[in-house]
Amino acid sequence: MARRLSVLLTTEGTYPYHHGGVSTWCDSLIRGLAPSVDFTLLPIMMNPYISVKFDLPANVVGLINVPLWGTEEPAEFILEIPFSRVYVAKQRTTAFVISREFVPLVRRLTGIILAEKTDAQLAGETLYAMSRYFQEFDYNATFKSQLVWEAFCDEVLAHMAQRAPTAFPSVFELVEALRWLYRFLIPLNADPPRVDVTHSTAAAFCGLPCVIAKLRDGTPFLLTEHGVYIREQYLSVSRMKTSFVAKEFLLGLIVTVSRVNYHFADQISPVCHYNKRWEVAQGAAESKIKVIYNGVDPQVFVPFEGRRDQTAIVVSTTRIDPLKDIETLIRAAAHVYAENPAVRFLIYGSVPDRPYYQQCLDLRASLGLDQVVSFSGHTASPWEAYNEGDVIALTSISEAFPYSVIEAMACGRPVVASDVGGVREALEGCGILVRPREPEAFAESILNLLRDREMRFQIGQDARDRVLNAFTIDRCIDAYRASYEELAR
Amino acid sequence: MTPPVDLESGSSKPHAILSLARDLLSRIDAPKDHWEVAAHLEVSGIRDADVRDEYGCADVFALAQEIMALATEVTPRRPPPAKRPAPLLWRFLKGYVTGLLFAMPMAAQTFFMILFGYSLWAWIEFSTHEATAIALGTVASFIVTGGFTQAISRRGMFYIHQHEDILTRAVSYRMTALAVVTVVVVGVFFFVANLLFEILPLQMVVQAELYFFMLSLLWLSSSILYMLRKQLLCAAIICLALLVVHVPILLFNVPIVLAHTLGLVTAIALSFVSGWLILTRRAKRAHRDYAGAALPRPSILVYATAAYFWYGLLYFSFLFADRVIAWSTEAGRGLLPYFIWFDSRYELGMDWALLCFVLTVGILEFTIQEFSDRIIPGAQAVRADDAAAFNRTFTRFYYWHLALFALAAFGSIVVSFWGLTMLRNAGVFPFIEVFFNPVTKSVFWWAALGYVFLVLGLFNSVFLFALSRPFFVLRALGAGFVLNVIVGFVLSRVVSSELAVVGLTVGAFVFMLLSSLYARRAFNRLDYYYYSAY
Repeated sequence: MARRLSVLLTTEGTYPYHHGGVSTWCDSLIRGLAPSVDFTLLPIMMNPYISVKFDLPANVVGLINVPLWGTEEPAEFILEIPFSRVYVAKQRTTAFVISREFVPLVRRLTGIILAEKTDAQLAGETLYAMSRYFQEFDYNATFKSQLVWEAFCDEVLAHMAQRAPTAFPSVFELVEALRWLYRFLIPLNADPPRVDVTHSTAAAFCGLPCVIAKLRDGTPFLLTEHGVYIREQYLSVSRMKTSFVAKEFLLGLIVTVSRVNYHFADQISPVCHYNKRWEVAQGAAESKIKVIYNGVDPQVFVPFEGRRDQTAIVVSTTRIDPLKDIETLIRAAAHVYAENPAVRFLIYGSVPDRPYYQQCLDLRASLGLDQVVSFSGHTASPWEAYNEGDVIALTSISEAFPYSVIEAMACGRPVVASDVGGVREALEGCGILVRPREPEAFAESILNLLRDREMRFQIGQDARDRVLNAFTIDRCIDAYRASYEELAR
Repeated sequence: MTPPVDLESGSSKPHAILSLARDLLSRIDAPKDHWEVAAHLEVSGIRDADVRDEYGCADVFALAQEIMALATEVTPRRPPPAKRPAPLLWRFLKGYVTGLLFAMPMAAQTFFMILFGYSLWAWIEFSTHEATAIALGTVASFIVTGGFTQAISRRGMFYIHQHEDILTRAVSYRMTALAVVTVVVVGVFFFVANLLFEILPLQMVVQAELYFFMLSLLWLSSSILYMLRKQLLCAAIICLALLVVHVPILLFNVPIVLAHTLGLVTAIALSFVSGWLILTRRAKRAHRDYAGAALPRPSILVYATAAYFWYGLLYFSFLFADRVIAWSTEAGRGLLPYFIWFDSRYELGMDWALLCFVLTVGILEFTIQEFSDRIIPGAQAVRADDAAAFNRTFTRFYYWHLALFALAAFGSIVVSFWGLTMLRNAGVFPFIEVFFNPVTKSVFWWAALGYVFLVLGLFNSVFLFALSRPFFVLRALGAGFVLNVIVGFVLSRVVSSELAVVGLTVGAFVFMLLSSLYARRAFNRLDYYYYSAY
């Protein structure tokens, strides 16, 4: 009988504390591998006050919570560390120790973060050395020492000495920068358990425990990327109301950590080929990249037979978010409605961005579509939503490999989607791809499908066949099982 | 707004790229590098295929590099200028009145005492037996609950700042329950100990225990309201409770102990109920995501609040040490019937001096508000390589406010003495005469000076707490407490009992001196202390 494997699965802002695509994927993976793999979860959380949103399967044998904010002592909620150890470490952390052991590390890391090019090997080794230091000495006492503050300031100021006065950091910016470092490096406190394989769900701070395990024990490291963490963070930090120097430091830190992930991962598995572009550009070796597509359960996402009336229904299941470009969908609806007044557009999805939602409602009202386009909120049974539609539409301007597309395909529905990210990899040959932000083109494709029942049926059939052949959850889980076994060998 | 990019004529770039660059760079300010530009291009729906056709570049990354090259001058984003602050006088008055609200219950007590001869738990005509018992209960209640009230406030505010209402409620309940258990254990222990060793008559002990329990519950319930920043409500409850004491005496001539009990039970009930209502209402509003919120392990909770617990315990021990020392010696008083014997002349002097404290403490709120409002803009305005200028600015701020505070504190002594003298001369309130005996006046002058030093020490402590340096405060207050006890004990035994108050004055002076040294140290390197205060 084959030996059960042990895997450390690390997440960031997702499973098991938040719902969403990545969390659903984690849950399916863990349940799917229940017969052969035991998982220890290491979720990195914004704060420690959130409740678990999933019933953890029996093969989850450990949970190491790592909250970044909302704690006074980083060890507060990392239950693996007994308080007596925290206390002894505090007593041990003297100025002499900090000066000799930690100050050189913080200087080196600061230099790497601010450098034009990232030395990922050196950065990883520095972070590893820090993690070893924090197994013996106290995190708070170290980071809040005057020695560390002065070393950090020296290093940043030396790096920025040639800056124009307007781009020179203020006292406040340095304070913010070192406080960020303090928060984001909290995962270094968690000593990862000894396992057969570590698996990070993003090239992010949650990958650091995997890098540590690799450098400590040579544990193989598998990295899955659902989106592209670096790109998402560039966008997120860019939108923050922060100064240029603060933005520069924060992005430098994030890019460094992402590149460390790419450098030390033994296998990088994006969910589509499209995402490889960013990964390779950020230093990931192409030879390590092995795409594993997401999969859906074809027993759950099944085509329903029969329809109730003659109304033409277009369904979209997507978050109400600017990246999903709901406005293009509403404009397309106006064109379709002009040709086919019986049409109805049903949009299922949560509303994370209230102002954008209001913008969509205003647009709907201004186009006189209040009776045509409806926002139906989040649905717990998306297979029913897809089966309501004659056509499924997705107008996103940015995607990786969206579940909504392969779920709709599994339900045998024809999909019209924007040709962004990895959508083409799912849909080419069994759906209709449209250039993003072009409502007329969307409308034309939807109308063509609504007019031709036979075409709808044929495309739907092909789409379901495609899912059965390439995008089932079993295929996805098998691919991960094989990866784990190969890495652990 | 002008985009931070040179897109003037003469550029060899195709028009489409220039136009795209103008649009993009005006939206994202100064990009860090071309990766940031590429990310924005992609979420604008621009794909590699479009880039080749429309911009003549190999892919989105190449187009991003072209655009980045156009950002010839970086105009970094700076925080928007701070809003013009309200006039200084208005800020001062607002801060002072808010601060006074903290001292309102204390002030109401003192004024009631002066005007009517009794307050929520005191009465000028208590026999010495009764006064001793009540004084013991009062002092014990402050000392036993002092650490808990500080710990509740500290941890509760930690969660309030993070909008963690469920945890605010949980930590308040848990710590209050622990405090109540401690109060009961201490009360039972002393009761049993007295039964065994017959230190005081049973009647005195029962009275002491009654006031001890009621006052302990009052401090604990009030601390929740203070934590919730409901000072006005707290002051209103105390005033209402004073009326509950006053009216039955006035109308039905009920015994004073019964009137006190009615007043205190009213205050306790109203404080606990209003605290419970506010905490519950807020917890119900909390996001359902946080329903599973848990407090940290008890060991961590104890560690995180220990410094504040010790501070509370030490502070109230410091405040009452001189009284216990003064009342437990026969020097200058003759034989004492028990090991401790209340001296009303001494207590009146201390109560009178408390006016100085009440009048001054309001300025603390103004000072700390000014500090909080100025620190971020101050740190933003100074280049990091000139941190010394930042430190100098705030050191000046500290000294300026210290001078203002010292002036107000010493002025409060004059106002307190002069105010009571005026009332005495007016002849309206006959009770006032009792304040003007030699012992009370002597105690007043020493205690007033001591309270002035104490509030100056608290002034320093407010900064040190804001900079997360509770141990500096503990060291300064600890040293002051030791001096307080030693000097007070020696003088009260060798010379006369009322000289125990000199211990308070010397101890407060040491507290002020050491806390000033710590505050100066912090302001001299404020850049570092500010960084590490999170």
